[in-house]
Amino acid sequence: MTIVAVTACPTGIAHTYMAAERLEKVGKKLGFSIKVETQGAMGIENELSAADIAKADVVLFAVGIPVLKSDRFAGKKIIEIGVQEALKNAEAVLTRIKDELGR
Amino acid sequence: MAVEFSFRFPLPQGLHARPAVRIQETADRFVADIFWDNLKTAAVADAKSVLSLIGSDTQCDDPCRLRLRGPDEQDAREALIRLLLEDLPITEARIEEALPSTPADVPRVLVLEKALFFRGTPAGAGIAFGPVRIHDPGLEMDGEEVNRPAESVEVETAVFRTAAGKLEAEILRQRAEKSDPAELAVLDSHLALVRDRALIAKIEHFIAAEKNTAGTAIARAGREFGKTLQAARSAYIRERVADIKDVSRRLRTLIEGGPGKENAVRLDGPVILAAADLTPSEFLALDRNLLLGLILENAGTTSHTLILARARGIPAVSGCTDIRKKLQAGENVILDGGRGFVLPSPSPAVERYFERDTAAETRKNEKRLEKAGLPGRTEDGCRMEIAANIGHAEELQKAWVQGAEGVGLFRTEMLLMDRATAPDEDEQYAVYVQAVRAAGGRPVIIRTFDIGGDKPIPFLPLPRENNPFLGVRGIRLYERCAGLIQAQLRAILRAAVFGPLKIMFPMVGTLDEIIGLKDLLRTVAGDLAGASIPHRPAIETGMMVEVPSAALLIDGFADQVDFFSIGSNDLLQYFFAADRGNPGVRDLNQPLHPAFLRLLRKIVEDARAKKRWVGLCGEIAADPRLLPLWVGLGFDELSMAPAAIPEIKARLAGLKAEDCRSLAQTAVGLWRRRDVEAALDAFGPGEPVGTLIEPDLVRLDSASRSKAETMQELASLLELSGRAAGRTEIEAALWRREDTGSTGIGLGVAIPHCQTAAIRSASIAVLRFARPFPWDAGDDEPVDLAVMLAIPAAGPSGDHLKLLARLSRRLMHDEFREALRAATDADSLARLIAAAAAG
Repeated sequence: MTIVAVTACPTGIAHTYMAAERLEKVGKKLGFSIKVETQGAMGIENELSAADIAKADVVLFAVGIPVLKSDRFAGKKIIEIGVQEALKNAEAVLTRIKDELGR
Repeated sequence: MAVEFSFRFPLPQGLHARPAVRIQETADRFVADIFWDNLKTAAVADAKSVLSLIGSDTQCDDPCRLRLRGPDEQDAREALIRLLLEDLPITEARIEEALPSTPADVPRVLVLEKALFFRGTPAGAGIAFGPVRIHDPGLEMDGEEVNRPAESVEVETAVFRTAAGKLEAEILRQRAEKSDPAELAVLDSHLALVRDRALIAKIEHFIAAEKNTAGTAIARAGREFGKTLQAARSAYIRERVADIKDVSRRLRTLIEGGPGKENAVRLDGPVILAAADLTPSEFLALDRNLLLGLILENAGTTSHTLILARARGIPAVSGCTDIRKKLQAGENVILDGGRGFVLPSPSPAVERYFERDTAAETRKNEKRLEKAGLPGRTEDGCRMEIAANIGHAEELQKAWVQGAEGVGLFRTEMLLMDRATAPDEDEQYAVYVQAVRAAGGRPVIIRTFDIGGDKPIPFLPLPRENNPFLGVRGIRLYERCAGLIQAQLRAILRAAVFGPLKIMFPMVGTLDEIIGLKDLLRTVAGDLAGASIPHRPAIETGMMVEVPSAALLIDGFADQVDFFSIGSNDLLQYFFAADRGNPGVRDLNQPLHPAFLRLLRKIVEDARAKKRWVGLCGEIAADPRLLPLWVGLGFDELSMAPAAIPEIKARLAGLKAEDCRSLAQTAVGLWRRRDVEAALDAFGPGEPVGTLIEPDLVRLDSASRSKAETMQELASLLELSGRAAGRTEIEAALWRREDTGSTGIGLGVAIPHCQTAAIRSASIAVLRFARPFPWDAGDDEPVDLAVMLAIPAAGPSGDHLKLLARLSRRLMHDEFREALRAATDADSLARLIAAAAAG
């Protein structure tokens, strides 16, 4: 199962990166192939390519502000949660996605 | 027969004076007896008495019941239902909207605690805690009661009823002459009181049952009702207590004659004093060991009384309208002079906040005092002398401790106050010798008497002037009191034998004036020489620049004087034609206006061209925020209240003269004050430091036990480290971020952060809590670790951004958090953070 994610928070200094780290860690633990793009104060990093997105079964936005270049994800199944939720409930969120994809 | 009506009280502010008057007025239209039961407080009130209604302590949503009995009970019931449920909620809502809302920079703890507080203008930094003493003899009902034996009950009752009738007529007459709604509202509430059934019954009870005189009965009834309402948390109800006092006083005045003569304020224990205004002599007469703080209603921040208060380090707030009506005599009050807050009867959490704030302030000052002894200079070595303003030689000791490098302004007119006769030459000589000896070789500039029509001196009958600030004051007065001035000049020249005394003349406006004064000085020196009295004839002589005409003739004056000192308080008010003490035009009296900065620049440049030095004194010299401008404009000396010196020196040491010069260059080229403000804000508080964290920013056993206390502690830590200026702003910025969404991230960690101009350099601070607590309400997972990220307004540098991003990622790793929790000292924890950020 493959997942791509974007994290972004209003100040773009801490939460963006914490959420990315958390999703990567938990995703790997749950057996996902996961790539997380950060849209923070340093701009877009670890940018998702068209190929990354095409491969993905699902797109996860963990954001507190609008996602930049969101047209890249047209036609994909997108799940949007808050940054805070990604931090606190990453495991529950990813488990639910996994269950839904497995069905 | 009787009817009832049950309801929940609908007004958000509770049953306060204004709606109570409406209810009483409506109830009074009917003959039925009407009772107001508050089923929550179990109070039973007479709906025809405002005092009784307020005393029921009815708050929003309290279950209440009206009981009515009498021939028109049905009509009364309907009228009151309409008033309570339809009319009042609408009219009150409209009035409440017009009231100012809570300003944004209020410490959060006051909002969380729903604390009652009043605001004024900050007028003397520091926090005082203690009982309040209200200085207003006219309003004190505890004043002496006239001691005469009571006549018969019938006579005393008649005395009271006659007085009440007279007062009612008097108020009605006043009412007919007024049109201002605010004044009418006050008169109406007084009228309601003088007619109040409960108050009248109480007074007549004291006369009949306790054989009191009418005057005593009025005073006792007033006190008793006052006490009932005193506990109220609502400002409205507190004002009503003052109204009772006022009515009680007016009644007693009608019976006993005018109020007693106003005495000097005598303090009988440590107190915070609240007054309309105090003259400098009234202030000086106070026992300084008992004066904890000062609240003034009318004084501007540059009034001489407040200048004196600051010199003595007494916390002060001014411009607190009607504060004496809002506080109860004797109640405990927190006075925050730095922020301009007055908080009556604080809750324990509020008290703890201010205790911690005081401790933070003390630590900050101790740290500053460590370096206060060093000479004033900028980071790049530009020298600026930081001197003290004093009014008494006894203030010198404190001035040296604070790091004064000399006395830039010795206000000698204080020698003239509080006395019936002029001080003679020998007495003055003794004072100046005391000062020059205490100075131990540091320069002392003695300003000759600066008096005028605004400062009454008993032995110097000055004519009343319509406009004393533009009248015969300062040197303009010297011809009329030649003996006094000659004695002063002789005393200064004699004392100058013992050290570097200098003379400075106030209010010089023309060249002829200064030439005349120099002649006088030569004559006096000649007299001393003729009488073989030891003295120093060659004394350095300077002048204050406070008259705008003098400011534009510096090149001419420079041939006559050795130095200039800008008296900025007066120069500002003369330059802008705006009284510094008048709140109505305070906004026009603005040191940051480019026109004023251009004037200052011209003074400095013209003086420099003639090789004369220029100092700046007055309130603006002591404002750390403005310091970069004074450095940039090239002042040689700043003179200020001693208490301000450590902060100014610390700030000076962090400035680069070159940067300040380009800031000043920019500022004088602008046209509006707000543009200068913006330039000053953009200038920021100084150069960034390289590292993100240091051991001083780590606390392993933090005593904070709530989110509010955490924010406070973090802000204090950052300020103490010198990485940011102003813990109040940092705390507010942390809350601004927190309000957009919790910074609790789970895992027992919170990462409060902020971005504000107060921060010099991106910083990380870490608190480990001795007693973990839930970060958010309803969150059961306690937080034991707070990692704060503080970012300058301009944003972190690219390097810092990378460090912060890496640290954020590492915080998600269990082993990193465990390492932070296991660290045994601040040093190693700081190293862990630094290493994680470095990647």
